[in-house]
Amino acid sequence: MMGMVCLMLKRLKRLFIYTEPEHKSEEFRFPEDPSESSKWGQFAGYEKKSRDEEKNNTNNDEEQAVSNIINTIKKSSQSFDYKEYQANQTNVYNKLSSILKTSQESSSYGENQSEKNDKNNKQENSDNYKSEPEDENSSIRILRPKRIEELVKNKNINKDSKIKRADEDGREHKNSVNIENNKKETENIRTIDITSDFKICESNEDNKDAKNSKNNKEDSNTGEKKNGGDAKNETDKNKKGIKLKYVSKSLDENIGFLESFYNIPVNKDLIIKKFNIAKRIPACLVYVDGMIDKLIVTQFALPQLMDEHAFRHYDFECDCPLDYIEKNVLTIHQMCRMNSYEEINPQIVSGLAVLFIDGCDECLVMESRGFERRGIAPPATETVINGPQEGFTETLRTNITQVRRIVKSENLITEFEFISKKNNFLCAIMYMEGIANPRIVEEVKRRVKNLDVDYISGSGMLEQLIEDKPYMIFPQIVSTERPDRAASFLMEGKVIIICEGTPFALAMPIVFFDLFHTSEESNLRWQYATFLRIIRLMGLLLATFLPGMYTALILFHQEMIPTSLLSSIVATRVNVPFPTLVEILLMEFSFELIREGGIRVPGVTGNTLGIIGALILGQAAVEAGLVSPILIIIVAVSGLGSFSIPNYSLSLAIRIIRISFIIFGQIAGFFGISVAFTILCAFALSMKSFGVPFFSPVAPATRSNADKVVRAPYYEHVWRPDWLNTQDERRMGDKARGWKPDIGGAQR
Amino acid sequence: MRKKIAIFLMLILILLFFTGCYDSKEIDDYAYITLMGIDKGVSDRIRLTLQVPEFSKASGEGGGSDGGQNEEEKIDKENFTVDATSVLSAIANVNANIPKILNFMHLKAIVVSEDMAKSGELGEIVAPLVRYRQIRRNVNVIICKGKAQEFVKSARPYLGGLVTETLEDLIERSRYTGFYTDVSIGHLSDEIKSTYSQLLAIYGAINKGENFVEDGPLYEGGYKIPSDFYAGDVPRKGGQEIELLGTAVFDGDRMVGTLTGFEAQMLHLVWGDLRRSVFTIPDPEEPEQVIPLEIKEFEKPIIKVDTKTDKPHIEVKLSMEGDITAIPSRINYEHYMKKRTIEDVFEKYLEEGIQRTFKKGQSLKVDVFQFGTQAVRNFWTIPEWEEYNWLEKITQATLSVEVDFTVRRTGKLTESQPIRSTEGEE
Repeated sequence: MMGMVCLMLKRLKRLFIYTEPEHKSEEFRFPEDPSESSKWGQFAGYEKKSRDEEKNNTNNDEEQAVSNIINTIKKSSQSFDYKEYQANQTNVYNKLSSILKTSQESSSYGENQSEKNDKNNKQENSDNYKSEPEDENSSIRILRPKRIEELVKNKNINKDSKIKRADEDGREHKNSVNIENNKKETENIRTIDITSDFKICESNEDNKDAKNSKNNKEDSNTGEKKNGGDAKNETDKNKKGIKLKYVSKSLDENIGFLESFYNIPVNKDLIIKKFNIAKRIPACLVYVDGMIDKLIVTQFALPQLMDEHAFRHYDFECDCPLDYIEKNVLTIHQMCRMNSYEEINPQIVSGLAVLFIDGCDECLVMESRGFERRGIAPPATETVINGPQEGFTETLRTNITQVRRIVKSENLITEFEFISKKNNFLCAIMYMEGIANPRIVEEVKRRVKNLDVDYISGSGMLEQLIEDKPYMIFPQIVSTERPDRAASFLMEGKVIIICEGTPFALAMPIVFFDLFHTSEESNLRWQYATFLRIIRLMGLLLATFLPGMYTALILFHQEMIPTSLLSSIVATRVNVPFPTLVEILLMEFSFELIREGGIRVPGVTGNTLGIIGALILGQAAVEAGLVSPILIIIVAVSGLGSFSIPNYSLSLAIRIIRISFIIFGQIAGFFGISVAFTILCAFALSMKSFGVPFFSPVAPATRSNADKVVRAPYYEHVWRPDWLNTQDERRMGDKARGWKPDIGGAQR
Repeated sequence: MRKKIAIFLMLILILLFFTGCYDSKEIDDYAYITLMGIDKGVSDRIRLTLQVPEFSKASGEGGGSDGGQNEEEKIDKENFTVDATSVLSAIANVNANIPKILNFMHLKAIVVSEDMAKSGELGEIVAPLVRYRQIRRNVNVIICKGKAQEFVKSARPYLGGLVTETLEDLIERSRYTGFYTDVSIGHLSDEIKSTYSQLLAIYGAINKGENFVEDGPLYEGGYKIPSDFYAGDVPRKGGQEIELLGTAVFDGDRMVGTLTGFEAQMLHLVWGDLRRSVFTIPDPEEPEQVIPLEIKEFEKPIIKVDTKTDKPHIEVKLSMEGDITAIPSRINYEHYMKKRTIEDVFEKYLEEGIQRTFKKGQSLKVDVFQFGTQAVRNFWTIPEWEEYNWLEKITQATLSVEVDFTVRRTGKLTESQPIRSTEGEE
C-alpha cells in the first residue's frame, strides 16, 4: 500500500514537475499578501510554529513525518525512475555512470543508486530536487492546491499512524544516510558532521556536472574531463576556464567559474567568502568589496547562516536549503533567486551579495548595496530662493525615491534598463501611466534599449546617445537636478530617465520654454514670476545679440549711434590698436577664460579669480589701451545675460551662437545679423525633440496655458502641454478654485 | 552631416574673404561733421565751413581744456573753411589734408548765410543735399545773420558736451518758447516746391553783446512786448555767442524777411504746438506793471478758411487756459469778478499779436501761418487748387481771430493784498 501511495505521489509529482516552468523560484518567496500568508500558515504552519514554539515535539514529528514520507517516496520512485529513464536517456546515463564510477573511486561511496536517481530527477527538473521536502509540498500545493491539500489532509487525519510510519521511515532513511556517511546511528539529522557534508557535496558536484554537460552539450567532453579533475584540483578548472550559463549544483564549480570569470587572483575586489551553513553545508557568499553594506553581511547574513540553531527545523536530507534559508533564516529585506549567470553577474558587480550553496542550482541574490554615497544636498546648479532645497544625488534609488515622494501615485511607473554592455549601467525610465503619451514612452524605451555601447557613465552620455539631432546647437533633452522639477515634468506627461551615478534627471521631449523656465516660478505668485521671466528673456536676448549688434553698429551703422554716445565710444577707442572684431573676440575669449578658470579653480579661490579676472584684468586692459571700456561693459552685460539662462546647455549654446552673431555682424552689419538670425530660426524651428517641434506652443501655435513668458495665475494653467498629446489633457477641473463660485476655473 | 557643416563653414569663410566687410569701417576711421556753414564763395561758388569736433574724453568731461590745448587753437583745428563748387567737391578737397574720412552721418544743422538765402540759391545748393545718403532728412536749417563761417565757428558746446547736443536742446526748447520753428532739410526740400505752404527756417545770429548797454540812463518807458526781437538784437551779454530767435521767411527759395521771436510764438499758438509757455501782459489797471501768465492750450485751435471768393477769409479760434504767476501791482485779480479783466486783456493781446504777424506776412507776400494746409481741404482736386493759386490769394486774405482764455489757477496765493508800512497801505 505504501508503494502504491508513493507511486501515485511520484507520478503526480512528475506531472507537476513537467508543467512547471524552469525558474519558478520567484513565486516561492514570502507572499506579500497577508491573506496568502495565512494560507501559508495553514499549509506550512510548522514553520511559524517551529519558530514560535521551539520545544513543540509534535511539530517536529510532523515535519519529520512529512519529510520521511517524501524520502521514502523518493526511494521507491528511484528504481522506477531509473528504469524509465534508462531507456530514454541512454547517452546521458552512460556519461553519468562513468562520472559516478570516478566519483565512487574518489569518494568511496557505497550508495550510487540514490544519487543516480537524484541525477535523473535533476535531468527532469532541477527545481524539484533543490526544494526541501516541505517545499516540495508547497510547490505541489501551489500548482495544484486541491489535490495536495487532500493529500496533506489525509496525512493529518492519519496523524498517529503516519507519524509512526514516518518514524520508521525516517529511521530507515536516516540509517541509510548514516550508513553512507560514517554509519553513525543518530536520531537527529543536525548532528551529521561536516565531513559527511563534504562527501555529499562532492556527489552533488557530479550531478551538477552532469547537468552542465547537458546544458552545454558542446562542452560535454571537456565537462567529463572536468568532472574528473573536480575532485582533485580546483585550480585546474580555472585554467581551463569553465563557462557556465547557469548556476551549477556544485559549489566548487561555481566558485571556479566565478574565479575565472572575475580573474580572482588578479582582481582583488571580488570577495568569495566560503563558509558552512549550519556548520554543515558548504556555501559561499560572493560580493564586491566596497559595494556592499558590510553590516548586512556581517550581522544579518553570515551569523544566521552559520548558526546551527537556525537550522534545527531543517531537514538536512534535502538537497538544497535555499528555500528554507530564504524563508526562515535570512532577515534581509529583499532577496531573489536566480540561476542564470547572465542575470547574476550584473547583480554582483552592482553591489548585491550572492549566496551560493552547495547542492543548489540556484543562488540567492540579496540586496546589500551599501557603497559610500553623498547625502542629499541642495542642488548646486539650479538654486532657487523659493522652493524645495533638495537635489538629486548620485544614488539611483535615492533619486527615484525623491521623485516618488513628490508624485505619490500608483500610476508612476519606474522601469529599469541596463544601458551599457560592459559597465552594466542602470537607468530608470519613469513616466505617468495614464498621462504620458504611450507612443512617446515607447519611443524612449526603444531608443534606450537599442544602444550598443560598452561604457556609459552618466546621463550626459545617455543624452547624447538618444537625442534626435546631435549636430543641433540647442539641447533636445532637459536635464534637471531638482526632484520637484522632475516631478512636474512627469505630471506634464514627459518621460524621465534617471541614470545611476549622476545627480540629474533627463526629461523628454522638451520645448524651448522648458529650458527657459525654472521651478521657482511655479512657486511664486504670477506677477513676480512674470517679472523674473521678462528679466530672464532680456538677459537671453542681450546674451545672444548684444556683442553682435555692437559690432554691427560700430562697423556699419555709425549713424544709428546717438552723437554723444558715438563721441564717447570714439574717444575711448582712439587708443585701441585692434579692430573691433579682434577687440571683441579678445574680450569674449578672456571672459570665457575667466568663467572656465573660475569653475576649474579649486574651491575658495574661485571667487578671488572672478574678482581678479573681472576687475583687475578689465581695468588693466582698458588702461593699457587694449580694449575700450564700453566693450567691457558690452561683454560683461552679455555675460551676465548668459548666466541668467537657467539651463546650462542652453547657456553654452547661446554663447556659441553669440560668437557667430559677432562674426556675421562683422561681415555684413545688421544685414548679416538678420541673415544669421534667419538661419538660426530656420534651424531652431525645424528641430524636433522626440517628435515635438522645439518652439512648440508658439511656432506651431497650439493650445497652451498662459505660461510661456508671461505667466498667468496658477489656476489658469488648465491644460497639459498640447504638443505631448497626453492621455489626460486637463490637469485641472473646470473650477480649479472650487470655493469661488463665479470665477476661478478656466472656462472651456 | 559633417560634410554639410564643412561646406557651410567654407561658405562662411568665402563670404569673409570675397564679399563682406568692404564697407565696414571702424568707428574711429571717420571724422564726423557736426555743423556745416554755407556762404557765398570768393574764389569759387560756395564757401563751406565744416565743424569736426575732436571726440576726446575732455569733450565729455572737461569742457574744452584738453591737456593745455588752447581753446583758440582747438577752434581753429576743428573748423575749417574751403571754397568749392559744391558741398561734396568741398569734402573731397578737405580730405586732401584730413586723414580721416569725413562724413555727414552726425550732421546736426546746415547754416546758410542770410546773403545766400536772400539771393535765392537755397534751392540750388542746400535742397539737393537731401538726396545724399549720409545726410538725414531731419538736419536743421539755420539762416544766420552775417557770415555762416563765423556762426559755425562761434557755435560751441554750452556747458560741455557736444555742439550737436547744444543745438538739439536749443531747438527742442522751441516747443516751450515758440521762438523759432524746427525746420529740417526735409521740410526745406518739400516746402520750396509746395503750393500751399512756404518755407520757414530758424533764424540765428551771433550776439556778442553789442546791444547790451552797460551804463546809461535808466529805462523809463512803458510796457514792451517780451522777446519781440530779431536774432542778434537781444540785449544780453555772456553765455552762448550764437542766438536762435525768430524765423526766416521764404518765398519759394528766396528769403524775404524775418519774424521776431514774439511773432514766431504767434505762429506756434495758431498751429497749436506750443506747450506750456509764459506770456507777459500789461496790467490793465496799472499800465507800468505787468502780469506774467503761464498759459497752455485748452483745445486745439479751430481754423476755418473760406475760399469761395477771391478774397479768402480765415477764421481762427483759439482756446487757452492758464495760471497767474505773479501780480506785481497787488490788485486782487484773483477775485472771480476781476479775473475776467485779465482774461479780456490777454485775449486781446493774442488777437492783436496774431493780426500783426499775419499782416507782416501779407506784406512779405507769405502765408506765414501756413493756412494753405487748411485751405487746400476745400478743394476736391489738385488742379482746382493749383488754379486757385493760394500763394497769390493770401495777400488779399482777411483774418478774424477769436481767443477764449480762462484763468484756471491763481498760483500759490489766493488773494493779493497791499503792502503795509509806516506810510500805510501802498
